[in-house]
Amino acid sequence: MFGADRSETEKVLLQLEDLFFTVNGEQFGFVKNNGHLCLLGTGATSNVYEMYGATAPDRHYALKVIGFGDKDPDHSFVRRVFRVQHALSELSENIVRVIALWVIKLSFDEQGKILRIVRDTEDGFDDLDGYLFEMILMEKLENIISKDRYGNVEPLRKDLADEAGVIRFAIELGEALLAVHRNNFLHRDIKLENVFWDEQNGRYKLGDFGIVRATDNGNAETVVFTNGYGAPEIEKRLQDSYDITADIYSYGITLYLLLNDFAFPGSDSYRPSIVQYEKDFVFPAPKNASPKMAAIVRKMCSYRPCDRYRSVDEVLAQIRGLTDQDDSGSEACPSGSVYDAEAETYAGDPATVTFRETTVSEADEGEESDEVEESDVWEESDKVEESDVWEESDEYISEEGVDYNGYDLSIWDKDESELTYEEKKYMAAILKEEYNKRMVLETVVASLLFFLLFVSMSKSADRAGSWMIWTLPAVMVTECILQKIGTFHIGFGMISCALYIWSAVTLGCDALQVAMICVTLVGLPVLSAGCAAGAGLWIAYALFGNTGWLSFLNEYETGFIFMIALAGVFADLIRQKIFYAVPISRHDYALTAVMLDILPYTLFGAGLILWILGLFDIFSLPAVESIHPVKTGIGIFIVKILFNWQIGKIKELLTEEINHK
Amino acid sequence: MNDKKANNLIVIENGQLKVYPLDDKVEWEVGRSSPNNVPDIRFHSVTVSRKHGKFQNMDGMWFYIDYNGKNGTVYNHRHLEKGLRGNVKPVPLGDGDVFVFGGGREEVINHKTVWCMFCEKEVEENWRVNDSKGFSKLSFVSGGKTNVFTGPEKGTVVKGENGIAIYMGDLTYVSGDMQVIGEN
Repeated sequence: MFGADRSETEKVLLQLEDLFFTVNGEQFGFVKNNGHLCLLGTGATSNVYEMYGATAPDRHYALKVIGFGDKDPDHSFVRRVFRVQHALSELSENIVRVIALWVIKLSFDEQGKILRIVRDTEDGFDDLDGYLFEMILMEKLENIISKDRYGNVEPLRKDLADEAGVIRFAIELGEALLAVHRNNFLHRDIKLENVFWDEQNGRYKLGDFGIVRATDNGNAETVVFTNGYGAPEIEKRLQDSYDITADIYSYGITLYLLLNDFAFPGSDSYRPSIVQYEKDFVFPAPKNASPKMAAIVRKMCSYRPCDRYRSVDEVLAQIRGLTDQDDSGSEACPSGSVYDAEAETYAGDPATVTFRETTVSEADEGEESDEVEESDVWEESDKVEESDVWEESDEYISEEGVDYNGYDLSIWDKDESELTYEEKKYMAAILKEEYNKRMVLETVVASLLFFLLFVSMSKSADRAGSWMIWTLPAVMVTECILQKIGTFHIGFGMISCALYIWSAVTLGCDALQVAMICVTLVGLPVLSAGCAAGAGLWIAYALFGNTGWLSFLNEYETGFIFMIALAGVFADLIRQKIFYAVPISRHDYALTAVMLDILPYTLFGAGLILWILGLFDIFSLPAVESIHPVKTGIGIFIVKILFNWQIGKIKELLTEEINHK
Repeated sequence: MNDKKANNLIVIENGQLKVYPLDDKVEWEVGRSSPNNVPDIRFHSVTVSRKHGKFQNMDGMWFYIDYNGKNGTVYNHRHLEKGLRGNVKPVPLGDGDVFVFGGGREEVINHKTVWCMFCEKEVEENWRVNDSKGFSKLSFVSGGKTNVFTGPEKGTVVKGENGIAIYMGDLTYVSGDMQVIGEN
């Protein structure tokens, strides 16, 4: 608000009173209380003051003042809203009349006195500096509810206490809404606070067309409320645009509140409950409504727009129909003593307990038809197909929508918001199962790769006799199991690394120890398991077989290929975590950064430097050169590119799904 | 049957089936009508008390509250007992819950007692009645699948994808895509 200070606004308005407010020659003045303006109401962006007309000082009006300070919003919008409401109020007696709209810019001197008033009708208004004021003069009407600062609501009209009064309210509100819709507008803000009572003419009026929108083809774009009156398709942004059925929902909620002691459906107060917007929530009947009225209101508030009434015409026809019918009287009851007596036992001898035929005329019809269809009568027994027989199953499972794994795939097509809790759990369980299956595959591949890596890099097959070497795979296996369980990871990892370093010192540093240390630090269960299995295999071969046939790997220094492949396995693991929506820890992020970002550049760079140094015979490290750092660096870089491409595809898939809704 | 949700009560009394759509009222009194008392769900059997119980909607959830009548109420094969203070606790209802009113502890189902089922899905209007008296074996066919029961109990409900059958001994009530074939 202007200067965030109401008294500032008041001072401005008082000045304007003398200078400005004239409509068709009629002067308007403010109603005052001890020199202060009488404030009728206040909203987020506006205040409403009471005014009177000079020609008939008893007739009062409301001036809605929207001040924007020095901001400059689209004031042509306000003009449009005014024109709409003005036109509609001419067409329907149930719409609040607007009398004048003033859009002005003011400039002040240092004492706050108005220097200049410029109307928006004058040239160059848009470019002018000054404080913008928008004011709408409309007829002053009474509110129908009062809200205290805790949000509790009291009705101000005794009429609204019974259903007959609510029906009358509904019809008048319906007429107003009909006029709006017939002229291709949507109101979009129907609520109890926007309906007023005209004491002079004795009718209800719909007002505050603050956000009315024109519809060209029956639809409007989306603006979101969060006040419990908005239709689900708007609140949840399920659709790009919406139509008059959204107004019907709000209209229905308004009636629901009047019949339910001002409590929203599924709530016990004037604060809406989230359960109201769940797809499966069946609205309870409003407490004070007759069943027929309850049926109408509940249909107006259906979750899906197609289940509601198509137009306000239909609603009005149904509501009017209520007053025409006679409620069928209660069922007559024979005065025979049997019916008035206490309950008797069911096992009684028919001779003693007389169960008389009812002579009552039932007011309500039965729901079933009595015909017995001859075709349902028993047929020959060989028609029963024995192969399909099973005992006592509760539900039939549909044939479609089931894939080879036995999952019901139909739930994947549903919108997120439409899934029940059960279905969400089911989806999560399927994803987890699929992820686990892939993990097993990865483990096998990783262990094979590790085995080949060791063979290609190691030259010390004969150390297998030493017991110390057995500690390594044992430690690895335990470590990867504990990782899976998720406990003691950090501590055990540190102990494991210490053991590896010790064995390196005692046995001599070898590929096995280095690889183990790396794998422990990596901390992915699959790689640990793979490494353990690989180490075991290597030892087995060393002990029992001969690795001679694999020695070519050593000769041709093919180790780097396996290192690249391992990086590939690692990248694939992370990708799968993303794809199957398994939570990714910060550890994983750090790891991905090291493996796929730092490592390739480091290897490539180091390899390049070593090669240059080797060229000039300055320095060489044969051990490092045997893993071909340059080639490895390039290889892992390629893996990284592939990984990013895959992630990009997953993201595309996800955004496609979201946009598709 | 589409999967629109609506809460209904299927009542079978003395051979007649009736469906009450519960959602349009918050409270439904259950009992036998008498000159002073007209409950919302009216039974005529003398085995049912005048004030037998009520179905109540609390913020969208349906409950049954029993008034502890003489012949009692059996809910899902469990007789509803009164608690320490003499009141029977309200029972939250789910789809397929079954009541027997007036059948005592033994859950007797005959023409003098009332059988009810609570449904959370929309129930079709048209019910057919089949004569199932004297059959020892019954086959229920729905959507191409068959379910066979030997000597079924009264009150057995067989649900198909788009149909439902309620076996009540002499009569079986069928709605939708469901067919009953009996044999001796």
